[in-house]
Amino acid sequence: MDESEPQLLKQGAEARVYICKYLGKQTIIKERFQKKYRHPDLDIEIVKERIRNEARSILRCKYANIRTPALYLVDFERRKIYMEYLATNITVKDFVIKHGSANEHFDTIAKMIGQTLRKLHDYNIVHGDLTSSNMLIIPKVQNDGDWFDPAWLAKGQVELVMIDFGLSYIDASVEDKGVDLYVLERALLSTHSNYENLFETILEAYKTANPKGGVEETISKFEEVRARGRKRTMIG
Amino acid sequence: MVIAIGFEGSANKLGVGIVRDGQIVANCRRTYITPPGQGFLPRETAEHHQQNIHAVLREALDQSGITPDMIDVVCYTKGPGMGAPLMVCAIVARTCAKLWKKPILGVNHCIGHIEMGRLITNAYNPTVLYVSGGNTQIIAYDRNKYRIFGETIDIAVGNCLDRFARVLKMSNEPSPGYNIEQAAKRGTKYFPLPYCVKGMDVSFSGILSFMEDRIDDLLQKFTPDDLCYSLQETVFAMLVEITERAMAHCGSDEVLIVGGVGCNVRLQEMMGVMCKERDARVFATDERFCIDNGVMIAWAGALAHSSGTKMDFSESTITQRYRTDDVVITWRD
Amino acid sequence: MVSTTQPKYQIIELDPDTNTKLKLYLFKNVQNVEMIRDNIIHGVWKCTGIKPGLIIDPFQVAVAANKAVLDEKRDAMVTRSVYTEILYNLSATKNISQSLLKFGIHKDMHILFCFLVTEDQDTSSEIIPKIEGEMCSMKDLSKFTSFEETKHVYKLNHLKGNERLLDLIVSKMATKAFVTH
Repeated sequence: MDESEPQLLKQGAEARVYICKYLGKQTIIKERFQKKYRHPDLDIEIVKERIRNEARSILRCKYANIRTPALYLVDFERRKIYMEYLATNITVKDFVIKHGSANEHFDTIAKMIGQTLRKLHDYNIVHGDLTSSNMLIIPKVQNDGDWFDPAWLAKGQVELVMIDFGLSYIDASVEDKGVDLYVLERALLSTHSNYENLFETILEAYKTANPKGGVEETISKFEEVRARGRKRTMIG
Repeated sequence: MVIAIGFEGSANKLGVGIVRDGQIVANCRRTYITPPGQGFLPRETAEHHQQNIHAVLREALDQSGITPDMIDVVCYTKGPGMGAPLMVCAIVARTCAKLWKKPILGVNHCIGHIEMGRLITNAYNPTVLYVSGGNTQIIAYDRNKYRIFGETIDIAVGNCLDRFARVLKMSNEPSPGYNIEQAAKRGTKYFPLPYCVKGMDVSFSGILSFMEDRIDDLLQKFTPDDLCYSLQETVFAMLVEITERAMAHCGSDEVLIVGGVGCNVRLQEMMGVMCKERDARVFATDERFCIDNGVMIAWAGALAHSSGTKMDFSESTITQRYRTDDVVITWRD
Repeated sequence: MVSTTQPKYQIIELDPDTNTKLKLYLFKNVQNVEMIRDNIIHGVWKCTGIKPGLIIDPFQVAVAANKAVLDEKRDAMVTRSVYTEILYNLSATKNISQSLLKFGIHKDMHILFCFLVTEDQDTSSEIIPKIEGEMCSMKDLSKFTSFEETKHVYKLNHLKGNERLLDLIVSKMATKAFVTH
């Protein structure tokens, strides 16, 4: 197999993800293809904005000491971002499904997520599409294998990687952060409805992650958004 | 064989419908239409329903040839909706149930739309986009609930369109949304508007205030038709995007569009293009069933009734807030 | 003295649409830097010289060269030649003269030479023999790297450790067109 020929890894609703040898390295290529249902001007604007937001937030995460893939090329013309391939990884979604809450490391993962989200928000980054599929667990030292050993967790040898920042934005308001948490809660409820404490554990870690505090306003906005959702009048 | 009658009046439409074993035998409706630039208010809407409900009920009975003694269950909209108009229908339904000595059943309005859509289109297990003046939700069925995967975090898409029609002082006859749709067909110039998707949720209030704030300037450079066109292209693109995301999430290959905005042909068309690209099918209905009606309440009530759901007369109240995912679906696996 | 043993250069294939490869040579104790610099600046030599002190990995140059050849093909370069574009792309800022000054050679003893080669063009064979210096293996690049200076140039002084340095540098380079660093 020719390694420089892109291999399709994932076909998403708005992007195709390929793996390919590029500049001598295994590389992820994320292509935001054209959506024919929307006006071409709107389509180009949305794609440009998402590529820009994604690259910008990925970089800013690095300043916040949140692991994200390295960026190799941001190509607006080809609607593609070229970035680092992390050989060994598992999505939080698959981890929860495979190992479940029975796993002693379930809490460890939830706490890591809470702490990471707090860092994200403390750096004024709002992810915009927080789901358990957009978080990867990787070993601190990358190896070439593509399997993941849950035992690494016990030794603290893993890192959480945040991906899919297309809907993210920077310099977010407190309300935006509240909505970000709400989006995650809803996503977890629909994906992992059998683990109700998952979000609660994440939220607890989120609250306590930074001893400097300053999170009360975000939490109260989150609760406000949540209440609004539940109580919306919904006139037929 | 179940014969059910349904009363619907949660907003400005008043409907009475009768179903016999999944066959629609009556679907009668009146709409309260307000002057241009005005929305409908609870008190006036309730008055409209009061003045018309007897005539609509008579029409439904006459049209169907069903007599009260043949009816198995009397259904009405329990919520969500505006309190006073909901109350009008609830009172009439309770009176009928007592007079005719029939069981009563309160129905969730949103569930009514979904079940009606499934009945008419034969969609099996669709991802549902429910879009109306008061609601914008992406719904999918999972373990005895219609679960909400995405929704508006502020105003409903129909509300956004209606209010924009008011800004342009368009007629509310037959409905503001219909008039926007016709105007949009004539629009040619696209004006970029804020596009706001957060995960599977959307927000429309920013678009509305963006246009409200600039309306005089905008009308210098664009015709009202262009603005209606740009608005539709933007908000519908948002809806199609979150629908697709929910479909990907659930691994679904069917979409059902329900609710008043669901009869917009441009929305159906855009959804169709998206579905074609992913080998999925789109199901939609026309204004007879999309727009609030009594049949949807009768049909959802008939389903619940057949699966053994009962409501005590003392519980036959109304509630302005009633979430789709609060209802336990007893008639699906 | 030019080494006569096996070539010690490194080749990295750039974007397939450009059909171009990047060829890197590392030299130390170069004696004729002024002549070299003149030839590069005046475009006589189709190559560029980089201060190896600011390069922590050949991949860093590959990212810069890749964008340069793509932008050349698209007529979207910021500087006047594809070789100056490489220097410009290496920098995290949009200041052209500063970028060229920082990454280009001046009176340096050690030089990292970059050539862009295609199927039918490779100027390195004519130019390399004219370098009066000691050719080193690319594996030795890290011996020339000044991490402190590199971090300073990329405004990464706060960074603890060098583990994620390459990641940050290339990501900064890749985003500078639309992010102010």
